[in-house]
Amino acid sequence: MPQHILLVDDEPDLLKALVVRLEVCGYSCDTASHGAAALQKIQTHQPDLVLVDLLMPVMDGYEFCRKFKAEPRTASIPVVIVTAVPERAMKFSAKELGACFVLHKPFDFHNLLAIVQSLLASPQSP
Amino acid sequence: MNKPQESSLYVLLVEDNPGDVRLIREALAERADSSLTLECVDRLSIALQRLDTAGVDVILLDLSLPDSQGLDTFIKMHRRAFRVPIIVLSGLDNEDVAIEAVQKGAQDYLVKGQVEGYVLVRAMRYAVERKRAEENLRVANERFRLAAAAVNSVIYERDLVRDQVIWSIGLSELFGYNPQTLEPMGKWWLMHLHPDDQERVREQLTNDIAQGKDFIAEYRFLHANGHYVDVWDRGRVQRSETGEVIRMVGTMVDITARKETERLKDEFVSTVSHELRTPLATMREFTEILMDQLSGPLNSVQQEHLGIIKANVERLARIVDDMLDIAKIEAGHIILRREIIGLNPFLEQVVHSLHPLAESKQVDLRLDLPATAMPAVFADPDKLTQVLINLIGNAIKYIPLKGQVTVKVEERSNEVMFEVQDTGVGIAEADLPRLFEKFQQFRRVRGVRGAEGTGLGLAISKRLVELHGGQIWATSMIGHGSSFFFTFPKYSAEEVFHEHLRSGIEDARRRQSRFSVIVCGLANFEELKTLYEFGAVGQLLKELESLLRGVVRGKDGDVIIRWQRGEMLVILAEVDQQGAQSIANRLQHSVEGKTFSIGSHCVSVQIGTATATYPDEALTESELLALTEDRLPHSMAPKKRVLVVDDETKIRQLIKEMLELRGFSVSTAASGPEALEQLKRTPVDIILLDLTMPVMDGYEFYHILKETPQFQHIPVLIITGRGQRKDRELGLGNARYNYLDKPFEVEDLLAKIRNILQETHINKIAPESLPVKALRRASDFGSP
Repeated sequence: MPQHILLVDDEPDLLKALVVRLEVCGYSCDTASHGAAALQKIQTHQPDLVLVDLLMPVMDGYEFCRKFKAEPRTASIPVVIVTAVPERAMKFSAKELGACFVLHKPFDFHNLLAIVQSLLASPQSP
Repeated sequence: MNKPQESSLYVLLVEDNPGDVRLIREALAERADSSLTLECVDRLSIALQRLDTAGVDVILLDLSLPDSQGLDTFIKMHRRAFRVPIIVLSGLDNEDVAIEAVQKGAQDYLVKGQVEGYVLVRAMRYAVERKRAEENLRVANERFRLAAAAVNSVIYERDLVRDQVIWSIGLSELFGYNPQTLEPMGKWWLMHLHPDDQERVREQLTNDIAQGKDFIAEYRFLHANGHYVDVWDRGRVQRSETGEVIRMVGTMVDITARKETERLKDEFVSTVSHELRTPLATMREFTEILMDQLSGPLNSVQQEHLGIIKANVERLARIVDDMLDIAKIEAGHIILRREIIGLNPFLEQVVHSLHPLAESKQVDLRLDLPATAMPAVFADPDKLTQVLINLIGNAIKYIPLKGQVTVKVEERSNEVMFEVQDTGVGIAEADLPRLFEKFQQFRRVRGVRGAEGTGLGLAISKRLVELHGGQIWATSMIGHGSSFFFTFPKYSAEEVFHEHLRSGIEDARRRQSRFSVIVCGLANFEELKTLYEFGAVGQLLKELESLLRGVVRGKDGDVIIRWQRGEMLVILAEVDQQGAQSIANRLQHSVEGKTFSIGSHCVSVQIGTATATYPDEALTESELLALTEDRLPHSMAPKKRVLVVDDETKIRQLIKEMLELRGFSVSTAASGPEALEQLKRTPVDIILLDLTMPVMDGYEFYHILKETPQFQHIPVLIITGRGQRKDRELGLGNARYNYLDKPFEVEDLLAKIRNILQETHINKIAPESLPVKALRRASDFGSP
């Protein structure tokens, strides 16, 4: 059973590119276009890792992280923030959001892959 | 003598008494002056009507008329014809009213029956001239006011000796304050600056005045309606004949609209750039997916074409990054995070990181460091890296193939100069001046692929270098390569210290976190200094420093340690009150029970500590430092410096010895001029002044002192014989004096001095005293 990654971003093209690449690397992927849709998907299929943008309609990444980390069932699942918001403009730091990493767009896919691999290779104990 | 040509004069006489009219007619007829025309009316109402038509040059006005009486007559007339000079005619019995009329704007008054022809004519001519001068002045003032209003500015004149400011009327138009009802002190202005700007502007003003430079600053100024207005202020100092800076005249310009436009532009640029990044990221991803043949095999032509797409996507991404950089720098949003950078390892690392690029073009990249270690520079390492990478990267890019790029550094008296030299094709001389402008591309090399830059790299480098206070330039010869140079100033210890303090506070403010100053003093430093020779004590201090450094290192974020005046250690840390206290405790523990050796002797050291935390306890640099100074156990605070000015050698010596016993540092001067000379070299905390001295007496000295901006805040204690003090007291203006009568008890003198010093300490809010103090403190920095 391949490890499952949930990608949350309101840019469908970028999501598609990432999905193509991650699937080639052996991961299974699912996507959501905002935080609320992502939380819904998690109800039925719990991911091993979440990649989430910050600025999205309906529910932004900040709120998604807060809810995701507040829920005991998902709190220990690693989250990586992928955003165009520069660090000093972020409303909360990665630490405050409970995220493992922040990747700023435009990013190099190989950096993303390295982060994904390192997080999924060392599963966190609940 | 040049007699001004008499112009014709049309006189309107308002007088109801035919006898008086006749007298005036006769008086004028005496003069037989054909340029004079006299018209008489006997009622105020008729006179007022007459004034509807122009042509009256001067009015002779009797105040008692059938239809109007007394001062009222003048007021009505003046209101109607305020540009026509009026001479009031009065009887002997109502001269008072006439004088009142003059105070209210009449040009003159004449007593009826005492008027001779020539007096009358002269009075009228003078009245006309005076009125014209007044009018010119009024027009000039109005023009000045309108001009100031038109450019949205307030004009001010700052009296630096008395610290008073005179404001133009624009103050009410721009900022809603009435300059007439205003407290004229410079402090009023300062208190209305945005709290975040006060310290910076005050410091800059003090420095600029001290150096006699033009003062140029931007700050936010409080409008009477409670909002802040963005202001651009430019003042020019004026000197007295003796060269002292006495006055500053300048303008405050409302730049709120400009600031708003700038802000919108910045916002636009950064929004657009961010919006561009997302599609760019997508394009890059799919290009790479295609190139990696994840979506099917490609032939070689397709691969080449994709390569071109990818290179251009990368280039567009770089342009977006650079545009964001430029926008940030131009908006003043770049905050330099300066630290002390050891150049040797730093340059090695930067050059090393560029080796792959150099190798790919078969360029020989060399770092040519002098044999001696380079001094450290105080700079933002990321920005210095960016500049170096840009220049070295350019050099490599623009070399056709197999060239050489050499990076050199040279220490100069005040700066470090970096040079990036290449053996490329060179740049045409005509292109050199435009090299550092935005979007300048030069045809340096034809047909070098991938060499396209963004056109912004050099412009960014220039701005980054200039932000650090350095310069950048290039020399080149076509066919012989180019050299790019830039300088970074060497920083002195006190600048580093202040920069750390300033940026620490700024960071804490932005992050809403805490920042602490921890001062540590060697309690028995004085004793050690008297017991052992200087070099040995210095060695001990170094030893102690490294011990203390070890205690704080790495535990609390950024920590720097400097010796201050040889006996103090200051630590700046991103910690709160508790954290600061725990560092202080660790410092205390670390020396407890330890012995140090000075030569063959074993000595123990005792240290005292004090902390102050932003923002809980103090908000500005100076406040933090003052607080720690206050809190440090008394014996450890820096010695107060006293200057004794007395022409009697015995008294000088006596006071010196007495005060030194009590822990003051004392210098003496036998005369006023000598004292002034000394003060220029070494500032003091208080002056003890004898009044009766030859050459320059105490009062004169006091005067000079109070008129010199540099010295005027030094408190003075006047020591005088009883009865001496009153004789010329009036000559000293209205300052408060501190007197001590001779003969005095030692305790009285000490109490007086302590009082004055404590008072000065409390009054530190005075504009000049704090920065001067801070600078003085800083200048005493450095290893013993």
